[in-house]
Amino acid sequence: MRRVLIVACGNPLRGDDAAGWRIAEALEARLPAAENEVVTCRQLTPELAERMSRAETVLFVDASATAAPGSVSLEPVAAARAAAATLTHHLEPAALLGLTRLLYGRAPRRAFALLIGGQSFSLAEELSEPVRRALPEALGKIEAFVTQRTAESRAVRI
Amino acid sequence: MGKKIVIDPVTRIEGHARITLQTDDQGVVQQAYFHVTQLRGFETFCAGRPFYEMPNLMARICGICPVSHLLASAKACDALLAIRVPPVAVQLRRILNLAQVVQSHALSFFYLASPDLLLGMDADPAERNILGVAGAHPELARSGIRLRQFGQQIIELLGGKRIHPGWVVPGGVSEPLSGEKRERMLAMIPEALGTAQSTLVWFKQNLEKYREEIRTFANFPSLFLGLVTAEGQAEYYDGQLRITDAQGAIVADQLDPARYAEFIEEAVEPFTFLKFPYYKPLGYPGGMYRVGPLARLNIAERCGTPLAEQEWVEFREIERGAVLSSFHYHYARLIEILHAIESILRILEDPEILSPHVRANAALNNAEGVGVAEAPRGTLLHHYKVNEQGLITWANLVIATGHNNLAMNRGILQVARQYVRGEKLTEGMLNRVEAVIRTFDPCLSCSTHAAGAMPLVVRLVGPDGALRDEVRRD
Repeated sequence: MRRVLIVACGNPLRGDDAAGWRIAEALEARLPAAENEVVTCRQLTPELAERMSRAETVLFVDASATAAPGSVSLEPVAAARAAAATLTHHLEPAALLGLTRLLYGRAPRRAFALLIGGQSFSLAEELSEPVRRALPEALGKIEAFVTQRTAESRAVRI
Repeated sequence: MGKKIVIDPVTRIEGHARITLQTDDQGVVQQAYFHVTQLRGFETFCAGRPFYEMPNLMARICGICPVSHLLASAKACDALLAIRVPPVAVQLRRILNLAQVVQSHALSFFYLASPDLLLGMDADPAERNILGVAGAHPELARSGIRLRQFGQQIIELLGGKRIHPGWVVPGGVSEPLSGEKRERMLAMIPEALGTAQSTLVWFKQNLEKYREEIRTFANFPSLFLGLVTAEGQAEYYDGQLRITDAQGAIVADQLDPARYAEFIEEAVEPFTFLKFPYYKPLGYPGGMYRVGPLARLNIAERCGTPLAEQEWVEFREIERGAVLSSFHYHYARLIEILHAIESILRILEDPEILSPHVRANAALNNAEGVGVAEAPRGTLLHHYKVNEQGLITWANLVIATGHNNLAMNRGILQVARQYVRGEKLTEGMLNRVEAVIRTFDPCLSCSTHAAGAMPLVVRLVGPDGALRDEVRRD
C-alpha cells in the first residue's frame, strides 16, 4: 500500500492551471517512489478511485481560480455522500473520496488538498509570475506533509 | 395557446446543447429542436498549417475521442503522401483505435447512461449519477472503471499518454511495439473479456425493464452507414462504406470514403451549429441515416470474432430487418467492447506485430486527401486540400455526431410526444428527452468543455415570451 498518493490535477495548456503538473514533475525526482506515488490528470475521474483505495493518504494538488494569486493553502477534504446531479465523468475531490469508499470499501484515512491561487488560466504553457514564485513554498509544504505522514505511519506500525 | 419548452443545457453528454420543444394548445409536442450552441470552426483554424502538423492538431480538438481524430487525420495525410503504410503499422493503429472504442464505450455506458438504466428515469437527480450507481451496484461500477482503464492503459502503452497520444504519424507510427508492452497488454485481456461478458449477461437479463424506452427512444426506420470489409464484415479502421435500410437491405455498398461528397451532402439549419449530413440520392431530410455502434451492427454480415459473433447473432434476432430502436445503441456498445477486446487479442497474438518496420516515408504527392475511421460514435471523415508547399488550404471534418444529427432531432420529437404532456413538467419526463440523446452518445464540442457545474433549466415559455413554468436542478 502506498503511504501517500499525490494527485496533481489541471490542464498544462491553460496557464496557471498547470501548477499541479509542474509540482508533480518536481516531486517525482524528490519523493521516494517506493513509498509514494504521483499521478497527473486533467480532471478527477472515477478511474482514480481504484488507486486511491490502495493509499493511506491522498493529497490533491490543484490551482484555484478563486484564491489570491500565489497563495498556497493546505486543507482537509471530507468524503461526500452525493455528487453534483449533473456531473458527467469528472468529480470533485470529496465526491471521489466518497466513490472510493463505496466501490472498494475503503478510502485513504486522510485526504488533503493543496491549492495554489492562479492568476491566469488563458491558453499558455507558462505559469504567471505569482504562481512561479509560489512553487518553492508549495513544494516545501508537500515535502513536510509527506515526511510527517511517513513518520506517523511508521509510528503506527511500531 | 402553444408553448415552448427549453431544456438547457442537456446533461451527461459530451459538450453543451439545448433542447426546445414546441407544444400546441392541447400541450401536445409539435416540434423538437436539438441546438448545439457552440461554434466549432476547426476547419478554418487549420488553414495555412503544414499538413504534417494535422494529426497532432486534430488530436487536440477533442478530449474524448482524440485517438479517432488522430487516426482519421493521419490517414488523410497518408493519402496526401500517396504512401503505403507498413502492414504492422496498420495493425498497431488498429489496436489503438479498438482500445479507444473500449474506453469510450465504457465511459458512455457505465458513467453516463447507467445512472438512468440502473436507478430509473424517475429517480432523484441527486442520486442518479455515478455515485448513486456505486452505492446501489458497486460491482457494475467497478466493471466500468476496469474496462475504461483497460482501454486507457493500452492507449498509454502505445501512444505514450492516455489523452492526445502523438504516436500515429503520416506513413505509420513513430515507434514499434516492444515485447514487454505486448506482454503487458496480453495480460490485461482475460479480465477485460470476463468483465465485458458479465456486463452483457446482466444487460440482457434486464432488457425487459426498458420495454417502453426501447419502443419510444428514436425507434423509427432510417438508413444506417458505416465501414465494412470487402466481405461485409464489421470494420473499424479501413474498408469501404456501406449503407443499408430499415429492412436490412443493402442500399449502396463498397463506396469509396474518399468520394464521400458524391453521396453525402451536409445541410445547414438556422437553429444549430451542427450540420445535417444526409444520403444525397434520397434528398433532405429523407436521406437521414444513423452511424455508430447500432449502425455498425446493422450493416455488418458478421462480427468476425467468436464471442462477439454469438452476441451479434442474438442482437440481430431482436428484429427481422435492422434493429431500429436507438435504445439499443447501449446494447450494441457492449457487444462492440467485447469485439474490440477479442480483436486486440487476435492482433497481438501475431508475432509479426513486433516487427520494427512501422513507418514509410514519402514527399507530398497529392493535393487532396481523405482519411476515414470508425470512431466510437461512428464514421469519422477528415478531408484536406494542400498547396504545393504542403500548407492546408481547405479542410472538412465530418464528425460522427453530425451524421446522427437528423436522427437525434427526430428521436427527441418521438420521445417528447410520448412523455411530455400539458403544462406540468416532471424530472422523469424531461430526463427521458435527454436520455434519448444519450443513447447516441453525442460528442458535441470536441474539447470545448466548460468548467464547473452544469445546471439543468427547463422553461415553459408562451408565444408572448412570458415564463409559464420552470424546473431547475443545480
